[in-house]
Amino acid sequence: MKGSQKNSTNKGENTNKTEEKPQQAKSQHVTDDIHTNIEQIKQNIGHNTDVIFRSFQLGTTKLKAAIVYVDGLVDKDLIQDQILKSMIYDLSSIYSEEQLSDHDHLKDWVNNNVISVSDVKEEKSFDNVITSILTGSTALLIDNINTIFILGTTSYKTRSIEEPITESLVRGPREGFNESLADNRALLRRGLPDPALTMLEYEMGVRSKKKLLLVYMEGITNPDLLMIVKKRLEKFDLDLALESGYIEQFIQDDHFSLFPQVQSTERPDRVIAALTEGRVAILLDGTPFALIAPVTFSMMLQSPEDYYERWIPGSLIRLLRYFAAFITVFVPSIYVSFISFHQGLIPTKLAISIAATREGVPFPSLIEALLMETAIEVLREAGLRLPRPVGQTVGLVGGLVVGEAAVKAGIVSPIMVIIVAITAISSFAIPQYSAGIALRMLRFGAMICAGIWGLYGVILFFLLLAIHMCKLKSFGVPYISPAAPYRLRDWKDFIFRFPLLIMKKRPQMMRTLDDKRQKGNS
Amino acid sequence: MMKQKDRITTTQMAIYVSTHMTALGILTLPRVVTATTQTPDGWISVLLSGLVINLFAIVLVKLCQRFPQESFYQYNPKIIGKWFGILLSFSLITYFILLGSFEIRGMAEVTHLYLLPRTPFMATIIPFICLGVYLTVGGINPLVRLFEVLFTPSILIFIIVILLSLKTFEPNNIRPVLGQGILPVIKGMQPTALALTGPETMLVVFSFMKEPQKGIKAITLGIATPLFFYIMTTIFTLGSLGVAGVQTKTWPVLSLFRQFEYTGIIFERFETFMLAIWILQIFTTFVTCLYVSALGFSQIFKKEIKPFIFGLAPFMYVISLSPKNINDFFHLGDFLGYVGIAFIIVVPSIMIIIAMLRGKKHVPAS
Repeated sequence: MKGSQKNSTNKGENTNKTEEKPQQAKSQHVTDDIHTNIEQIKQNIGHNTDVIFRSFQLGTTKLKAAIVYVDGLVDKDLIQDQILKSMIYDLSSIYSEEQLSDHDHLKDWVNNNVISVSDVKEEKSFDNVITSILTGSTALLIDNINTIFILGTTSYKTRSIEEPITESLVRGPREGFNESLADNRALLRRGLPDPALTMLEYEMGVRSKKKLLLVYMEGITNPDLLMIVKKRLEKFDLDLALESGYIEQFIQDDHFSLFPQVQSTERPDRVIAALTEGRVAILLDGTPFALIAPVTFSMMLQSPEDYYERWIPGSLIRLLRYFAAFITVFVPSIYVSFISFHQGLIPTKLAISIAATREGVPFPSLIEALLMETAIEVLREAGLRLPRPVGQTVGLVGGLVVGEAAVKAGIVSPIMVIIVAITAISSFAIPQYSAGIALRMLRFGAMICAGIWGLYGVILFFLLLAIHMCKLKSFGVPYISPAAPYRLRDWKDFIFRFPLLIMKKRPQMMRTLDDKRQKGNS
Repeated sequence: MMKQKDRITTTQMAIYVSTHMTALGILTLPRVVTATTQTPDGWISVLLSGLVINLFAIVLVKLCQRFPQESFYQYNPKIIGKWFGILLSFSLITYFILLGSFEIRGMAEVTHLYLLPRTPFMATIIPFICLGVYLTVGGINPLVRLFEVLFTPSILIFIIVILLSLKTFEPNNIRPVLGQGILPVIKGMQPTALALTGPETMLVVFSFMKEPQKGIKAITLGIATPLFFYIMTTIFTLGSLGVAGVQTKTWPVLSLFRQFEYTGIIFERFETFMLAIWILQIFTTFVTCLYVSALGFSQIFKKEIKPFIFGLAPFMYVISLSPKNINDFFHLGDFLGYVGIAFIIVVPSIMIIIAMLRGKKHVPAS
């Protein structure tokens, strides 16, 4: 049993293939007879009340026709004005019955002169017809014609373009992606009206049939990278692709790493910047989160604002974030190791004051730290999931009241509360949510190592972290570049953000085909 | 993008050699040198022996450049015959295993003395070795990437801490320069051997170089960097502790950083920082030894490298615990220093002469 579970991916592939085959065998082609065609569709999806069948006659002729659509997914005005009206009224006035008996002629005539919808396809396989209907198209069936017209009438309610909630900036565009792929694509096009901007379409999920766009810059993005991404996207094999997280988990390099190896973002400007650096972006229908690959650790600590602000504040703020990341991971563990192992390393006065506050605390410092850090994680999670006004109350009650009471009751020392608070606040300074989670998890590992081996444990943990990041690659790019391998050109945009004037070339680590950012002199 | 597999750049090579050299030796160097010279001129000895080593390292690179695609294990049978070749390979492997174990023990000794006085060696050594195995199974590329990452912060912290020690620096302690002539300086060159071992790994890892023709540049940079630190450390330690003081301390460099305190900042003492980067440097030397010896086995037996890494790790653990006390341990160090020097000076020189006489060279296939 265990063996078969382990090979679940292989097994999944097999079952999917076997599922597809009978479907294809079952799939019949469209016939001349409208009644059998309608029956065929009805057999498949006719039992759903939202599937609407509307039969009518073409003008004054006796020729039968029908449209099929799903209520709520289509633009009804469009169907009434551009399809039904023209089919029922206009056709008859120009065309006589004799001419309509010529089938090929009729097909062309309907296509060219009657239907005034921009997006028209002809389909012969029922499978595709049904899929199209279920994604919002309208099927037009006409007697004596052995194809079905698929009319693009998709229209559903989408959220308007709003400010991205998870990545807010002080300065920068306030546009964020929404759930509609068409809108997101338009946002990218508007920001980058360059012929090199290329979008390849994929269909994700055997059942969900979500549209996915692989976006890159032709002539900039390295073809090797593109090949890796394409290969991994084609490997995607699930019936459902709900959110870009599904895709991310399928295409990432290391499934056991805590670090995100693909960046998710709601900001079109961020995607555009990444594209021009030679990275690829992945947009999925139904989610405002686009994916950017490959990523490096330094990208996790960057915010678009670094580039919008002038370079000195931009660099300093970035430096501050590196500092915050360090605090998030290591400060509680260093505190634990100093308190429980190396009291001698703390300056005497500070040591005395710490000892005074720790008097009466019943737990060793490791347990104390783990307790408090867990408590603050619970608080954060509770505040996140609750409605906003309630969430704030939870934060207030949890943070202030419980913290104060815990200190007064002598369960924890006030210095521990300070350490925990500093750590928590620092972790919020990391602009990428998923990177922030990674660092917060690592903090616990560091604390446990510190509890066992003291400062030596912290050093070991640092080594472990460094080794892991050195081994990690994101789509062939080392995760810690440009720190290693040394690429001095890329250091202009690493810990400091140098003036834009100096950044004349694209990042070297991306091995772009065209590495100049400026015009001319090519 | 995937093509760079198993190839390392010239900068990476230089960093590799220099991080491999910087290890246990740096902490005891001022003591062992001064014990022989009895004058404050130890730093000149270090400089001179560094230059000598560099000269022979160039010969070593020249030898490697005759076989740019192969490691020492692979080409030495071609020069001196199959059985002598294998014998030489095994002695090099044994040397690396011993050196790696020696470094682990040294780390355990210092950690025991300064950080964890009540923790048994087992508890400090085992996680250390496990980390080494975790890194080396990834191959040469993660290895050199880690070295690069650690290199810059190590240098920065080292320079800051050493400059802080100016507070106790007494210029009179290092004067007179060459007061008793050149003879003590020459004598002092001998005990620097252990600190200067390191370039011999080039015999093996040279085959990974992307641009083998830049080998001399890489090794010269790789030796110059640690040499600079050695000289700085020796001068500052002598300057603070004096000729007599240096000789009485087991780890004079750590004693140097214990000498001074800066009150008012969060940390008053800085030997912790020095110790931290030093543990990282020991780690780098240990993993290169582990990797290079496992690579030797895998190339001689033409098998995968991973089983050898896993097999060598417990072996090194046992060896690292075998010196009975710290004097045994230092004797092992002296011995390893001489063997290392033999592999830098004697072996490559003889090999290159034989290779030249027999006209052995790598013939490019095409």
